[in-house]
Amino acid sequence: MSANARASTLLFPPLVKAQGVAFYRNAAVWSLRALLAVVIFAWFAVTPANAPRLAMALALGGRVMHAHEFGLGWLSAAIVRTIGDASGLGGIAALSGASVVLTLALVEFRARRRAGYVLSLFAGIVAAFGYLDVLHIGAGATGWVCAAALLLLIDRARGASLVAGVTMVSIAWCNLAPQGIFAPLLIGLVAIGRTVDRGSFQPEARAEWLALAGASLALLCTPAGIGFAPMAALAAHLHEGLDDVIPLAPYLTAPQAYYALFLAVVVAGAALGIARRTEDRLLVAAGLVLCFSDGSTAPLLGIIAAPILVGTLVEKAPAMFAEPPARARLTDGLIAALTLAVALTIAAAIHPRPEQTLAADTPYALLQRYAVSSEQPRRVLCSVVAWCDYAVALPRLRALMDDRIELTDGATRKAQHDVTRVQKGWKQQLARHRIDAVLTHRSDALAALLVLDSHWTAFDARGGSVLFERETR
Amino acid sequence: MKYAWLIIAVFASRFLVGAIAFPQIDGDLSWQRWLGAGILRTGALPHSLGAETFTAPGVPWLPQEWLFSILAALGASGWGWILFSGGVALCAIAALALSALQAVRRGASAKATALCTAFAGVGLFASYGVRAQVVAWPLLVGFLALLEFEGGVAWLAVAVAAIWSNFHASAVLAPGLATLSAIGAWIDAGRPTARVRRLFGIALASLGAICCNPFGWKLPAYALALMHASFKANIVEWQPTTFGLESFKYAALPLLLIVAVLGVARRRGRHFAGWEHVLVLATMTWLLLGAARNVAIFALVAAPMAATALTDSIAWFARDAEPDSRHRWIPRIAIPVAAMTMSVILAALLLVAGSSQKDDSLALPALRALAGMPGNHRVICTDFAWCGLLVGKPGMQVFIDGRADPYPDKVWTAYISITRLRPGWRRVLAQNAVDTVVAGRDVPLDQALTAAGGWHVAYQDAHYRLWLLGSKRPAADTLRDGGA
Repeated sequence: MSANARASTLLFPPLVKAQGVAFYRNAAVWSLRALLAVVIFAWFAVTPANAPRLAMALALGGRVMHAHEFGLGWLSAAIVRTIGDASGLGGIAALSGASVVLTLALVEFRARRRAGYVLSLFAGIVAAFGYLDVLHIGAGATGWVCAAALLLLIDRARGASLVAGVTMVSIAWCNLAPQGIFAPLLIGLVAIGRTVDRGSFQPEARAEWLALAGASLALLCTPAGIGFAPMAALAAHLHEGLDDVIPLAPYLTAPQAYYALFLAVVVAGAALGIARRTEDRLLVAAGLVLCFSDGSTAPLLGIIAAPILVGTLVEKAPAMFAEPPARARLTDGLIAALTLAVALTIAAAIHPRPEQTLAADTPYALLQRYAVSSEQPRRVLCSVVAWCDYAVALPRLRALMDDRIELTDGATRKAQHDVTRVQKGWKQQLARHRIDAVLTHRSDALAALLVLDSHWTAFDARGGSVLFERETR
Repeated sequence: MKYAWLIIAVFASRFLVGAIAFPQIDGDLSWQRWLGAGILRTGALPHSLGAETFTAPGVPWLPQEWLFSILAALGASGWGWILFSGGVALCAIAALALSALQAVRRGASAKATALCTAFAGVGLFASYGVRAQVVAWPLLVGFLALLEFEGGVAWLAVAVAAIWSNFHASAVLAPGLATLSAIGAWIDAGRPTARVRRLFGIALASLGAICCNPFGWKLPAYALALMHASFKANIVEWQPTTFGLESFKYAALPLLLIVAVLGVARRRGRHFAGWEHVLVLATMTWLLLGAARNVAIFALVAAPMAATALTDSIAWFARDAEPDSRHRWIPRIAIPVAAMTMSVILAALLLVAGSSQKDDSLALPALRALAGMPGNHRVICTDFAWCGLLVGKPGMQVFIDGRADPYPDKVWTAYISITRLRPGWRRVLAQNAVDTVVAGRDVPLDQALTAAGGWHVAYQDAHYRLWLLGSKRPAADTLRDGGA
């Protein structure tokens, strides 16, 4: 009995016997797909937004469209702004949900050839674990679609179509998100792996190396031009010492995916060993290292590793998972359309609650009040870097540092670190960078020391946050 | 193993010199000596904190490191110190050697064993010191190695567990690891073989063995309670492992990648073999991810698995042909003896020619200045480990010290409020009638005392300041500024 038949028998034993395997197998698989899609859409709708990121994306999207300012991730910001203007927060939630669902669909499709029809669904579910901590509106799910598409192309395409496809997807990825800088890394590892496995540089390897050249060329095809690579390396957190100023450790940034996915990949890899292809081994190793160095790349680990691990399972135990029979395409298509309709209906029905919006966020409220209190432009420092994302969306405020790490230099990051950790010379850093206001937790040592400093006064405090203002002379 | 001995020799020099010449990486050794001396003097173990602390006298305490503390007291100085600290270093060396031998026993090649032993050695650095947990390392590796033996020898693991429980509470891992090995062996064999039954028996016996210490069942209960203790959030080495940790990045991570990518289990017919190792590895990985202090034990356990995986999967690491029987003594005896001899000679040369620890990290100058001051002091240290050096000193009572575990949550909360300047920190300081603060220079509390007033500096240098309550300035000769 094939794997699919085996799985179907487990799901619907009496019906399978009576009605045959194919229809109920499809029904079972599509029901699970529908459930997964609905859960993802609903999750986006009911969980609070990543408010600072969303505010910044909307502001930057506005600048793209009205001021023609193109920073990193300009395309995703513009898309978010366009959809936000047209259909509000619900539309952005639907966009985020659709991005994740599309990514998982691509992961599943990539696993199909390795693992067959039923088990490939399992790859999608495993990859979904990587999203456990980033299912928030504004968390930037659009870029990962390109990662899944790129890996699918690498698996399926050959020759000129591989080169063209990889180049185009890489260009899209680089314009959507700074993580596009990973594109040459992924194709490079595949090229190395395939060359190693072939034992020599054979003619068919040319396409992979040309695809690597195309992906590298894509790094130049953004508005930042030649400046994209160094900026994207910073923005994608590929820079030592960044964890001094922003949280990167997976237990902080992706605590659920950390155990659910990272541990699962390690244990499954140890139990199964990755399939004999060197490219797979290199990709999984890179995924693990990236995830551990920056927890926000957990989705990439899932996208990379899930099809490989599920495929390895089939490779290691071929007798248990035979090649699947051809599927009933018409049934699949009908159920696919139904699934999407149900998922989108739910997403539209469950609008994000009003309290999830920006005004409910105390750091935003404090910064907003401060922004309108004077006509003068002022400089602000936030002890939590992400809070200063709001400053991008507020008039006359300029942050020492926000989540656009690529706009900072070493001296700025040191100042941020010294002030937030109240290191020796932190007051001089505040003066040197002409900081007018400091937003911090009430319970921070920084707050206690500013209270004791006669040059600073509490401008306002709400919830657990307090904003200090430098005394004007 | 021939290359691995050379690697171990290099680490052995480092461990020996580090232990003998650089005795303390935290203040634990001081209170452990005090505890050991107390046990030797009274012949009894303390069961609660005493007057050495003013925040929690009478609170129950389980001094799990009692045997280590007695040895620390006996080897406090002179040759006793060299024997004691050298013995701790030998524990680290033995753990590394046992891990390498385990790799060889599982069929790893010399090259793979050497590489993975090097990774494991680097992994030990982060937690290495004259510490009780170092004594537990060879006991852990030895326990796991014994489980793999056939026949009655495996039962020696129970004795190892009993010894382990007298040195460190990590002995609570023993029954769990034996149970996982038994389950894995059962899955591998597909039926409850004699070995599976033996492993379950060892697991059960280990459960009893870890109670063979002065605390009985309270030791495993204490260790389990420790898993969820909130005070761990305030201790660096209990924090989850991060990429920034050198010993993780250059030791545990490579081993983790090797086992995750190449696999530990091997196919045997239609079945996977090695679930025994996979389950143990999964547990150690969980521990690794949970706390930075577990990098060392992960590295020791994962190294043999990684070496075997490299040998089986990558041609360059494949086993070399066995040497001619006439020359087997060279890798088995000559190289280990030569390598370890060189290592000991090198360590001795370094000790004779090298210098002792100059870079103080325990606020010793400030604590010495405090010891020279008359009267009684209620002391808080911005690094609680420093106050471990004041435990048992006449006239000194500490807020919290390196014993850490027994202090109740409310004491920890108060301590964090003061040292991290949480709202109301001055009130908490006053409520506890603290009159002495040993602070790192320019740490938040030091800055706050400078700004707040009501305290004066009794000693300062480039790294530390000693604050005393009251605005009275000390005599000029008392206020020394060691900062150049």
